[in-house]
Amino acid sequence: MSGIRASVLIMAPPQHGEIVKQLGDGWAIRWDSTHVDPETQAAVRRVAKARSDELRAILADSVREAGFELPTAA
Amino acid sequence: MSKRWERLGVEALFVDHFADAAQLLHEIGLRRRSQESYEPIDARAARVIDGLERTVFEIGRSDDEFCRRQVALSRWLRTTLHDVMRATLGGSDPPADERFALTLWMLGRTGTTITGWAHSDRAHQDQTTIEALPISSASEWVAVQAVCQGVLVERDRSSPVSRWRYVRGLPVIFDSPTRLPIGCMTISSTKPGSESVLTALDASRTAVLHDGLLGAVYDVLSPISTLFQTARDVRHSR
Repeated sequence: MSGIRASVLIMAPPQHGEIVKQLGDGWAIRWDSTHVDPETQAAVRRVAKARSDELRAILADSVREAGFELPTAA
Repeated sequence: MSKRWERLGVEALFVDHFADAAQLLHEIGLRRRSQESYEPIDARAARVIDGLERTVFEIGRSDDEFCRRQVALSRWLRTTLHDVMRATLGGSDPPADERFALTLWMLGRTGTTITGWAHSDRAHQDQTTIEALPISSASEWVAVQAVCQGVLVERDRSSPVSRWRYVRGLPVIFDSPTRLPIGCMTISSTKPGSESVLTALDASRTAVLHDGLLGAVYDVLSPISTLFQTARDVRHSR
């Protein structure tokens, strides 16, 4: 592999800051949610957890029929 | 342009969309780490999307099963949107004069189309009438633009045939066990962006709203994606 170098050139991204952030963070979009009061953050997390539990229940049988077992929530 | 680079000893590869640059870098790293066991993204994505189509949307099942799942997903999206928004607003209900919709879009198996499979404001009743949109950077659809750009996209809409005046698209990208873009979630409002509570939220509260909505989906769909990504011997349903 010596003597070979790969570079990625991005031309005029429409949302430059976010693209760079996306690349810099290891290809995942990360949202900075550290400035909201902890109570609101915790409330949203609780709601999201409850909603994902319900979605898990909706899909469980279909996943089982496909030959898998849906892991339980962390 | 490729010829000019070639003269300098550089092989230029062009990607179709901005979002592809991040995926290309990921694939190069994955290929180096995985060595001979590397599986190209088109094969991984096709298997995962096939699995999600079957287990989440009941595609390819009977009409009754498909319709029941549509109603269940529509209710789930509607309640999720309401509850997460209410929690984000500190326990207050969203404005009564503004209506919202949440839609879950998924790429087709070849990555060339995207389909809005589940909507909070309606439920599909006939699989054969659902339109798959071509993935093109010139598309007017916010969901397509979000997938092409790989980042949040928001646009005011003005169409005499649609009540939705403002749409925000959030790409849905799984991280584990490998990076895999699978679609998009859109939040729509009956008000233009300048009047919507969606744009009135400060940046950090907006981030919490997005975290809550995406998190509720990721917590379930990402493990399903992992099941299908790691099971190479799973046969496609059609």
